[in-house]
Amino acid sequence: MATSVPRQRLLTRLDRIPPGGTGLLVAPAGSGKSVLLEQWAAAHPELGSCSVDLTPQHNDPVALAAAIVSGLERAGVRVDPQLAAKVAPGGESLGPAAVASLQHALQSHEDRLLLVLDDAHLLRSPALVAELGELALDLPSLCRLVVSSRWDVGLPVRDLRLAGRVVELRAADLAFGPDEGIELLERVSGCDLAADDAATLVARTEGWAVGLQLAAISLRSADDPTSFVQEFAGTDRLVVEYLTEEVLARQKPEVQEFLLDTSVLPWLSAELCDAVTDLDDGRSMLRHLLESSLFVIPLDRRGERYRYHHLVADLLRSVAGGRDPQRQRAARRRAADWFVEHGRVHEAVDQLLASEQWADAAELVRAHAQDHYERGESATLVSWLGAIERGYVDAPVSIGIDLLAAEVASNRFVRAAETHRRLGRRDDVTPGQRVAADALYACAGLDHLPADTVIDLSSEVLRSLSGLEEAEVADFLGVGGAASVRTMSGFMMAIAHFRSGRLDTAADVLEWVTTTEGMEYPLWRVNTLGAQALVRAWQGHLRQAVVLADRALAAADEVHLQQHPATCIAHLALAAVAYQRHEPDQMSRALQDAAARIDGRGRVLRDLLLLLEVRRAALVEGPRRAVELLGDGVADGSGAPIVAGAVVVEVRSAISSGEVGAARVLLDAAVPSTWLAPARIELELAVGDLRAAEHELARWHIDVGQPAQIVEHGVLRCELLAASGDVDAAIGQLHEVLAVAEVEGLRRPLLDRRPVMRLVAASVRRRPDPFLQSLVNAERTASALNSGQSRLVDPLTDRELSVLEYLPTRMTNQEIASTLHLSVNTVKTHLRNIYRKLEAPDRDAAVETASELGVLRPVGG
Amino acid sequence: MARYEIETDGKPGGFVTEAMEQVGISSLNGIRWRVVGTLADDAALLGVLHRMHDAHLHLLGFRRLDPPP
Repeated sequence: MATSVPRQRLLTRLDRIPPGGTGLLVAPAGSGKSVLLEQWAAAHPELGSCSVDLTPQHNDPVALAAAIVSGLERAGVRVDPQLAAKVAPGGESLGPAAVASLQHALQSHEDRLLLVLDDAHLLRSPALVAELGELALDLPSLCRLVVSSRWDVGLPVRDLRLAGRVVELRAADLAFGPDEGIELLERVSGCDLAADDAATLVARTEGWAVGLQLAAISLRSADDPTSFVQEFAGTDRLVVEYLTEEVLARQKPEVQEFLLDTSVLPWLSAELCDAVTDLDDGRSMLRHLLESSLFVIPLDRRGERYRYHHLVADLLRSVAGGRDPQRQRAARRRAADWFVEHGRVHEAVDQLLASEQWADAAELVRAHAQDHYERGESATLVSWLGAIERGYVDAPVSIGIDLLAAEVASNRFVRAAETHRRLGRRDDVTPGQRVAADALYACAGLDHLPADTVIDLSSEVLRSLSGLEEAEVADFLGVGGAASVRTMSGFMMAIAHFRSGRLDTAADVLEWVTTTEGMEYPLWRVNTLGAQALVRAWQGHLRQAVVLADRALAAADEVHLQQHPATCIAHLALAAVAYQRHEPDQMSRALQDAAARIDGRGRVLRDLLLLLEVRRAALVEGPRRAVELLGDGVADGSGAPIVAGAVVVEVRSAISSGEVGAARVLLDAAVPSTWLAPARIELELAVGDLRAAEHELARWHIDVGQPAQIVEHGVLRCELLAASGDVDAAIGQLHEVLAVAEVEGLRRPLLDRRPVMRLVAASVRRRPDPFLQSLVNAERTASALNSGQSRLVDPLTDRELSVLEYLPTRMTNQEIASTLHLSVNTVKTHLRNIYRKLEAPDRDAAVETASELGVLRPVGG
Repeated sequence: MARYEIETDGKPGGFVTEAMEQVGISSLNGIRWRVVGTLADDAALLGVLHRMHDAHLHLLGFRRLDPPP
């Protein structure tokens, strides 16, 4: 604004933001934060600038990512075009993959950059704020971040202060001092004020920028400035309300009406203002407001778009709503119509919600729900539909069902259960609506309800469906209806069977699901194929699992949903396959892909991911590290295969440490399950109680349709026979096992048993065989790695091992970061840890020590 | 719903109190102002406090007058 006062003392403070540092401007609305930032950016044209004016819409992380990418691209930063797609849709944060991609983009940019986030107080998700904090703590030296907010939002200010990487400007700093205040008053009012009068105004407003501006505008038309000042100084009314009414009262009636009518708008253009006011003088009015410094701020250089100062707009809306609520409602209605006509659904819905036009808002949301759902903006749908449901007296049942679907899609399971309960209390729910709601509730209950309850619910849904006409079944978000309900229910039932350990039943149900019409919808297809892959992997049908997982990912590719959380299950399946085949690097990649998509997903999948990560840690870093990583363990409700898998990890760790008593306690305390049978047998073998081992082996009724169980059972029988002295029988058993294992590449059960591997090694010497040789080679590598790691006081983590692989290649830190999709600072942190753990002063020494310990793997090996 | 009391250093107007019901505003000594009103819950209270912050009023204290449920 032409009448703004440059405040050199504040500009100088901002100049002191260190390279890679953060500026925090925290002060109430109207303190001059945005103006100061504009002045500072203008004073530094050499800085590329990415500025994001945050709005409530940006609480949807998909929308926030899109805004940041757009801003960075305008600033000339090369950004992964898939960055926004890496955000887990419906979640409450950007997610680790998107954050890493953003950090990488900033690290790779070779020019100085200023990243500005304005109005950060509008971000309500603590997870999103935590991610901004991560960015702030890890900024490259060529970048500076400035965050402006009305209050402290929870950024890691203490850490930034300790590191000397923050400059803070707060309300007291931004307040206009006497000289600055007088200059502003005189510039805006055009009056020469008496010094006392000016000082009184500055004191009365406490140097608050918007207060001073309002006072100055009022002064322009005051007959006697001194009287105005005395009256203002003497009033006990709220400064900003008094002055706003003063300013308003001194405008011509048509200007007043324009200000009040258009105060409902998030931004202003001539055409939009004409639509809202139902006049045709929008262009001239906006020009007048701009020239009169009436708080209109240009949003572009062409003078086509503006907005009001936020606080002034709030006040004008408050005045307008108080004076004539019906008129305000009508203005919002006209605004909504204009926004709809111009394809701006968000703004249209906001207008209808703000004016409590619930039925129209509901209709508009429904018309566009599918688009938002498929773009991953479920959080936005929850926000809209929740507002409608709360405000709309006698809201139709369909609103509740849409809300339930949006809550399930955005993984808000507890809220979804509450919505389902509310629907259950209504007496106007049709059978077709009830069946849709129950199907959604089963989805929501996947983590919270016992598996058998989910199975019963899903069965009931399928039974009810058979008694209904297809058209009777409620649609939800444009993706519902009978076909979807049928497919979803089958899918939920299958997952519940998996949780219960009934893998064959799970497989059968999923096979049936693939024949349902709902499979035509890509996301159901991706989910179902992924689940089939997972079940097959767990059964040991590894080849089939890979084919199914690849089909799931191809289905996601076809519709550009590679980053969608639905693909998480397929990646977990591939990780499970890699585990069984003893392919640690493939396993690591699959786990990273799964982790990048799992944000916000339910407990079952997160526990499955944890179990697989723990298993990998056991392979690479040893059983002790695996138990550390397990931490508090997995939830009982995640299901027998997962819970038992976690117990097995702990039992094996105890056995390997010689703590057989502790191992027995763990097994006795665990919920009885056939999945624990291998661990029981291993324990008896470890203590040398062959009879007890035989007994446990006989008790274990394996499923002959599951290669994994056949091999595991056979391996333990082989070991028992060898321990009993019957070597010939042991070798015979071994060959039977190998015949099954080789077909699927099932190496894990063999590699886990050293006595059996000795027989394998002996067999290789007698009869070279590629599969046998692969087992021997795998054991050597794993043994060397574990042996080396076990000699370290503090073993290297998985990620540190990955970085270590590249040290002999002489790649620079930047190149390693780029290859591993990390920030340079993160690579440096890993290097510091590597040097510390290996007690090496530099790269060459680290490579030498790592080689001696046998922990250095070839790149990609 | 519960009654809350908020003390500020200035007289709050409709902009601040519009979310409150049965509002009573009084001055303790012309300098401290006391607002008593009914709000839906703590979230509504936070909304009022944010508006006070926006209106450049300084918060001197607040408390809930009705016992928690």
